[in-house]
Amino acid sequence: MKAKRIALTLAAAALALSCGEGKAIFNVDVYSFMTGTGSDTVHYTLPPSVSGNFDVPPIQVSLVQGIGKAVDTVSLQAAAALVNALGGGTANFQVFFASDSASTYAGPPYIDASGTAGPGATTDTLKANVVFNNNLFSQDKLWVGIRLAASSGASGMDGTMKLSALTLHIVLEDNKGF
Amino acid sequence: MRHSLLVGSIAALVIGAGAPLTAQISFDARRDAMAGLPLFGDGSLSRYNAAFRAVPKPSGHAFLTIPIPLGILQALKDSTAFDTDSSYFNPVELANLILHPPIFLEVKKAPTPTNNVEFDIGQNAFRVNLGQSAGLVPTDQFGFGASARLLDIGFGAKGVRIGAMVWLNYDVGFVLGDSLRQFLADSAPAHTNTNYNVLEEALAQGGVAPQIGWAGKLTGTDSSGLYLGVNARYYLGLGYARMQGNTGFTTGDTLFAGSNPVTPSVAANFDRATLKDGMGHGFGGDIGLAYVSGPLQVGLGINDVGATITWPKAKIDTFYYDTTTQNVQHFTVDSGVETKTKIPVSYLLNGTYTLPTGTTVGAAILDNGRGTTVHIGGEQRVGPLAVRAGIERDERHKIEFGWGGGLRFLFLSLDVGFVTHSSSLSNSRGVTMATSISIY
Repeated sequence: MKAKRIALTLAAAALALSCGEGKAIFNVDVYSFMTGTGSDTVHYTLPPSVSGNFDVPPIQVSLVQGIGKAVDTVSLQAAAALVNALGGGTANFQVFFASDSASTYAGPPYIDASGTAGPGATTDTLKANVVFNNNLFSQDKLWVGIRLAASSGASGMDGTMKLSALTLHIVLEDNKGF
Repeated sequence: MRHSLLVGSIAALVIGAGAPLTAQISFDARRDAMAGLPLFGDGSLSRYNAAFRAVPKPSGHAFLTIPIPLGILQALKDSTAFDTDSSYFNPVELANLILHPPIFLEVKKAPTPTNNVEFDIGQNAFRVNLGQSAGLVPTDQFGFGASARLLDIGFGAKGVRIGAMVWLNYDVGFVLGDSLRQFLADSAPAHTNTNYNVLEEALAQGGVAPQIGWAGKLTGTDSSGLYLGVNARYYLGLGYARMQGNTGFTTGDTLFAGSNPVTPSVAANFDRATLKDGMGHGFGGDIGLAYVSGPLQVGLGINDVGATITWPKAKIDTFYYDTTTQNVQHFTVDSGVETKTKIPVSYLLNGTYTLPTGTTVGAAILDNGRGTTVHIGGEQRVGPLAVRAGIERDERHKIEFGWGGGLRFLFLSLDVGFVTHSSSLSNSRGVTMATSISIY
């Protein structure tokens, strides 16, 4: 039985008993699905005065099968530690979501937090909170990917970006039955 | 198959959680106005107390009551319960209609609670907060059932009655396992390597029963007396089906990881017999006492005493989850084996007092083998008008109210009764308006 089935069964029990009108709220710790898999860390190396994107393989996150008819709001909180080792430049921490792995990085990022790497060995924290409305988040599974979009300075740049938090807060409208 | 079993169990949990009184709303608006108090002459007293067959009926009692089913029209308009293919199909509404058949008009629906449900999900974390609805999670056994005499015909003379009845008995019960109950009711987090389960049992059986009975006065005068009624019955079962099971699933080392993070658990026995396997058979009976003294009537009836049905050739299957094939399997344990089922014994204790001022007050305690209901009510007649009110404690220990009145003209009476109910999946009360015509 897939993970979504346990969620479906328990959620069906929960929502069936809850009955009546109201919203279904999901607080998803996406970071817990990514930590330890290697998909939470991006290593970057750029020669001088060059821009580039560094992506991790998308990872699947299980939600509960869409019981609400529409997404009311989605809040996304993300944070990453930018640990620069050599050189310097600018870095953008980006988070992507999609319904399948192939198109994870095809659309615009849901989070785009910019920061400065370097010069030299520095550590910076990139954070962002965004609120939006997208029915993608009423599905039973999502694919998530993180990207570092960097532009190096005259000395190039080298370092790692490690995800430290990624939380989804999804509010679905009108949980009527299943 | 396994998914269907688990979702079916959850669906049954939904239905069972809303278990109402099986006969909370009577077809007689007079009785509804008095919160279900059994009325002398409406058949309900003699159904539960055989002695009342012999008690002289008071003057002015109705011999026929016809319900006016205004609620059916209202229910047919409710497409959210019947249009299963639509996006707004609401299974909660359908469950409500099954549990609370819409014979009469629902003038006030039990308000559905506005309640948010919150889920916390992580790779190794899962928790749900039902909010106020957590109070609806059953903490002990819940379910529904009934023993009905669908048809009871006979003829008699000199107190002896010979007849036959068509009987039906069904009972469905569930108990949530500790882990599942804590997860839903206490917002406890889901744990790894833990079994979440529901214990369920269900029985349905029916048949016919020839019977012979006697009811008469044991002692007394013209205005008072002690009456006894007994019925002896030979139950013939046309078929039955029974299931006892334990279904659920066990989480793995991580809640949301791997290709198979949970393992279903299914262990159920299913036995049944049909007419081709031979009729079930068994003896049972009823006994009742009634004491009448002027305006006072009291009675005690016990029904279906000793009603154990023996089925000569039942088939027994066992269902289990096979971890190798990852599917639910079943095999026949035995076929042609003798099994027994029981019909629950029911009790009725009642009393009424009628004053010369046209006032009647009464009380009744009914135990149908699945819980006890208490009814207290009264009626005041003033000429052609009657005003009625009552209070009831139902099987779920909830207090319900009834009120209403009637207008009699010659041999006809139009009666209206309002009765509250908590039989929906909400703890709030709705109000049903019962309407009926009685013929005197």
